[in-house]
Amino acid sequence: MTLNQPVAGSFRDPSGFLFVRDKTLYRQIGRVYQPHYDHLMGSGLYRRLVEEELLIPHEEVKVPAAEGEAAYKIIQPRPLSFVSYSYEWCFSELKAAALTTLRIMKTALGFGMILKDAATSNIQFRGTEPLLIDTLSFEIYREGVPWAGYRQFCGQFLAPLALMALKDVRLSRLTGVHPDGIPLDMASKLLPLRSRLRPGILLNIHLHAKGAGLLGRRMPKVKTGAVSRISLEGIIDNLEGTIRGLHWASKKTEWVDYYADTNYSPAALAEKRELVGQYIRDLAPESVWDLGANTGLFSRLASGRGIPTVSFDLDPGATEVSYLQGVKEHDHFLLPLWMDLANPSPAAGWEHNERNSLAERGPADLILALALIHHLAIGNNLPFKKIASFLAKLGGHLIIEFVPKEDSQVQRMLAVRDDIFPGYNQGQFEEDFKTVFRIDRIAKLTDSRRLIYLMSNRRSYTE
Amino acid sequence: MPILMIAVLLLFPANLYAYLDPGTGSYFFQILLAALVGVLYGFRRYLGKIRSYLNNLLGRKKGKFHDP
Repeated sequence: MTLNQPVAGSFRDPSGFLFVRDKTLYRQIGRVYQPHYDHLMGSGLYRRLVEEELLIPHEEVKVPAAEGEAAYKIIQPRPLSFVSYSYEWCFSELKAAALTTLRIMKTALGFGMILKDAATSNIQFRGTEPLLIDTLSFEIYREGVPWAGYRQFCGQFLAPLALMALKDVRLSRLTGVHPDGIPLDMASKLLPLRSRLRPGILLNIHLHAKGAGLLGRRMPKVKTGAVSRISLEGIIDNLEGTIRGLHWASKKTEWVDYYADTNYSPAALAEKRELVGQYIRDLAPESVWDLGANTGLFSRLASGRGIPTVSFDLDPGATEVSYLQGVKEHDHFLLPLWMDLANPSPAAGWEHNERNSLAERGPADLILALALIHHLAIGNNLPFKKIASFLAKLGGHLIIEFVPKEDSQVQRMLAVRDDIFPGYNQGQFEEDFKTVFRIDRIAKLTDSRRLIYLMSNRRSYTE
Repeated sequence: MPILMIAVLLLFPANLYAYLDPGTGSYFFQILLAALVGVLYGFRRYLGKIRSYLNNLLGRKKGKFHDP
């Protein structure tokens, strides 16, 4: 029996929707979108954007429609290895996504089309490269008509970027609680006074917020000819220049110096890399999630082998460093994301179903949890059993490092608090993890008390 | 500011058939912004064209001068 399962988050645009059948993702294009789709494909715009790796490629397929009478065509987009959200992106990821959106908009105008929306969720990363995944975002351009996505672009891209660059990088989390974009009046209040000296921020955020508030009380008159082509190009150019002028330098962050400031000897670090690399080679996983990845030293052991890898870290600075390194290396397989594992991204949106939780986006074949356990167990008071059961939800195999209480990092954490962790020891760790994992191998690193475990999920983790 | 905004809107009303709600105030604001930014951008492009024309002209002369 074939079931058509509509994909959450693709129901707002009447042009079409995504559905899954037999584990394959399809996009149904509605008849209402026919002229726009035909223009996209016939004008050469699709080919140009796919050649420039700005738009997800697709194939037209002859399969039954999910909703027959309304269907024009069914397309099968190239699958994505992972879906991420703007509140998980570091500064440069959001900036790259914003500039990609504007570049696509400019290219589309050259082919007589326009982006009818400008949502961050339309952009996904293939490694470090952003690309548009919504093939139905294009619309035939009618000169004079204002850009419907302008407010969305300002709220979802420009406002968080300005707040990150000019106020505090952590403010990008606001995009999670305001999925339609950070309200511009709020962004205007939060931004420092000096932001008004930047013409692009003054116009597109401060005056936009004020003007929209004043003008919102008037009803629109119906007539065309308001925003000429040259004016629209001017707005896009202004947004692009403003965004290019925003920079965030991760001056002093918590973890970016971690590898230079650990109790690992160079020999132990090399041995750890060799060991983890060997396990990855042996397991040959199809996907890897590196939890507490820092700047991605160990993630790169997987992505370097062409394995789609997502690395998560609590520190936006470490995520930024890792992303910029990936950009420099043209890494198509590593996606660094900013994530607090003690409070991972929840399911969100309408019916809690437009954005998936972290666990819903798994499982990965292999989970790396190196130098992480003490942060969860001692830093967040999480019992081993709870950590084990959460990790078992995320993946099939697990490479986990046990950091004993005598370790200087743990001692540093306990220096200013009571030791309420009598059960934090190797025996308890193994006993609790054995309830959900099978321990395959244990290795002790030279010059270190730390242990590296290779474990396998006791349950079948694939659907 | 509000008077200027309303005056401009009366001069340049427009409509939009979008699935996405552009926000009424934001929609009007864009029309205002377009008028301002469009003029500046058009002027800049015009200047750019003059500059590249002059550069081409000078470049050609320079090229001829260096021809053996």
